[in-house]
Amino acid sequence: MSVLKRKEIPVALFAVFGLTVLFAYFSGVKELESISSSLITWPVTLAMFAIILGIAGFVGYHARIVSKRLGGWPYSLEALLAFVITLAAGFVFKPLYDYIVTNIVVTLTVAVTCFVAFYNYTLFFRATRVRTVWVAILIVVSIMFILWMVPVGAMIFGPGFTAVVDWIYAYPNAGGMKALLIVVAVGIILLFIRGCLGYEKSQIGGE
Amino acid sequence: MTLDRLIFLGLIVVLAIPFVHVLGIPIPISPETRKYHQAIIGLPKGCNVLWVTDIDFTLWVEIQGGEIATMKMLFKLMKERQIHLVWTTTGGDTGLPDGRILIHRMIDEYLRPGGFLEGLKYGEDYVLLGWLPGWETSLRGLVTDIHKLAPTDDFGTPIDQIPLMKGIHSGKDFALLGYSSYYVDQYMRQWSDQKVPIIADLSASAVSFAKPWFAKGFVSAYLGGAAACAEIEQLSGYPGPAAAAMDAQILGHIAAVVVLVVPNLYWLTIGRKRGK
Amino acid sequence: MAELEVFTGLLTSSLILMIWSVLYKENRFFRFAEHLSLGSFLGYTVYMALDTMYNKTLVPLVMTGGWSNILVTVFGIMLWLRLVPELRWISRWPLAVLAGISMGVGTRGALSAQLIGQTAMEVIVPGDVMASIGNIVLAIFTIGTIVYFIYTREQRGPQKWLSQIGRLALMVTFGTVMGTFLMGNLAYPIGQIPQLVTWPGYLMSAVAVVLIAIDVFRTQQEKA
Repeated sequence: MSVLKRKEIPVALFAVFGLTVLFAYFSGVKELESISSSLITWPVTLAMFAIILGIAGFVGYHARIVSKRLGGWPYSLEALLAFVITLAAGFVFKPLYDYIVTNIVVTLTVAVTCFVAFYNYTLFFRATRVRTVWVAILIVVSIMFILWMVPVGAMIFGPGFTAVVDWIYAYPNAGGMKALLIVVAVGIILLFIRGCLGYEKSQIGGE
Repeated sequence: MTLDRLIFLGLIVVLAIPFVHVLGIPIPISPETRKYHQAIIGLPKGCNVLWVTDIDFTLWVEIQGGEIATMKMLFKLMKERQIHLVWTTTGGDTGLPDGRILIHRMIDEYLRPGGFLEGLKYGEDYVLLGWLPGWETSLRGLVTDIHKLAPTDDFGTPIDQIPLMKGIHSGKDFALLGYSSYYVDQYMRQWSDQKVPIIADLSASAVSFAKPWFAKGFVSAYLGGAAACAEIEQLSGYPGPAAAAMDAQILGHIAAVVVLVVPNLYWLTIGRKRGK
Repeated sequence: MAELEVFTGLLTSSLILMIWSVLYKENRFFRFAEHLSLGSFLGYTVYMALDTMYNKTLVPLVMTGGWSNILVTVFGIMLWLRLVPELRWISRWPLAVLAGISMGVGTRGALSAQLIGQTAMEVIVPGDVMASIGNIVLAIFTIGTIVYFIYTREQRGPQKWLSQIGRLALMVTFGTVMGTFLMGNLAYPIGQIPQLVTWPGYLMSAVAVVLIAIDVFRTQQEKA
């Protein structure tokens, strides 16, 4: 039994399944491609098992707070009730479920995400000071693209503004982006190799 | 802290102005949007299209105009040119099922009331495959072996029993691959080897990342953000939510430039001397 | 139903204002809305997961079986053993399988489309001088940015100049990202604000303004 607990087994599983999928594409062996196309469907199922596992953690955490009357327990009770009512509505009374999703889930999700916009402006106000030439370039380019994304830039500065920004978008920006894509690709390949050799264990639940 | 609150309040007021008094600032159509429009209306008769709606509720707020206009164009082409649509979601980076809800919402709130479904038959003209979480693995499965990835459609019908899916097995059976998402790289990684035109309805945040792929021809055309969505609404003849929001976008962008420029001007002139 | 529409309008606008109230300061309305959001969102997600699991896993497993369906269901159940402390080690196996498959798929794409696909480029465009000049700029910026990320040797001479070009390219790229991100971020409040300034949402907005005004006045009084 202690053999099965060894950390090398998850590493080996990672390598076997990963390399099977990788080599199936380059090998051209039909049987390997068939196995690979079956394996590719597994994350669909495993993701759903993982979601349900995550819910157990949520319920356990908030149930503990409610049962022991820890700080903020009424809010934990509220979260658990909202969870149970929404889930039950999905199975028992679909119109209520649809109403909850459309008017509560969607509204609250978007409302929370709005903070990104608000803090974007405070970031602009507080954190963007032109202290060096490099920061000046960054801010000038960002202002140009802010005006480029809406018709305002062309209205204020004329069609030449759009042509200049289009050129910056197509060449200098694309150059930097292309390099980042190449560097990221090298990083992904190295991460995969490190995972296969056992140097990276974070993705398999280890330290 | 008070200054931050004033910024928040100021932003809310600035963005609210166009909804109280419409400004009606005209929106010119960009060449990229024209390419996107052409990629759809130029589809050959009888072809198959795959569309992946990988948007969550927050991205829906930004690009719903483009998504709805695209679907209206595709469903109109279904009647005129007998094209077929396979429509699904992989959940994107979050893996969440928001896309599935939004697909049904588009059908129930926009396509059906607008008469776009009249004369069309589910299973023969279009198929919904539902939520296929897994992102890149699901994207790969859609173009390698769609029957293995999605054994049933969104309603539980075995895929082998659906007439449309009998002739669709992999990427080479599609004339166009399309998607809506925050991202570009992941879709290019999994679809670029199919040698099939790819179009994308993207968030504005993906615009800078899309250029290297567009320049290489991996992406044939894309919509970049709410402004492009307003343009496609205009171009396609289906005005919608994106156009209505453009006035607020324009004012918000002007406010951003003010917030960037004014403190820096102050800092470069008076503030630096005072050591602030 | 007109009454339901009015109720829905009041409900959504009050939820938005409860969430946004934290921009003023932390308060009980925000915490109520925050936990409501958490609970209802998870309820919706679990329902969808169970529904999809039934359609796409259980039905095919029962109808057709197959080694793939059986094996993935076994791995899925092993994943749930993470909840049992003594058997937690078993859940590493399906995690490793999931990570391996996902990384294999990603690495294949990164190798072919990203690394090879992006490295190859046409620089000189016959008959188009401007495009050729642009492509030369693009190539120099790409090489400069890659050189910028070389940390294994000290940057001197031509390498240093190339990496400075790379730094310039990165500033332009990040400036582009910063500028283009704004539209996406602005779309979220733009999508919500109409509900606060039109009927019946502006009633809740008025209530919110009054409440904040009372709190500001009270805070001023306490300070005085």
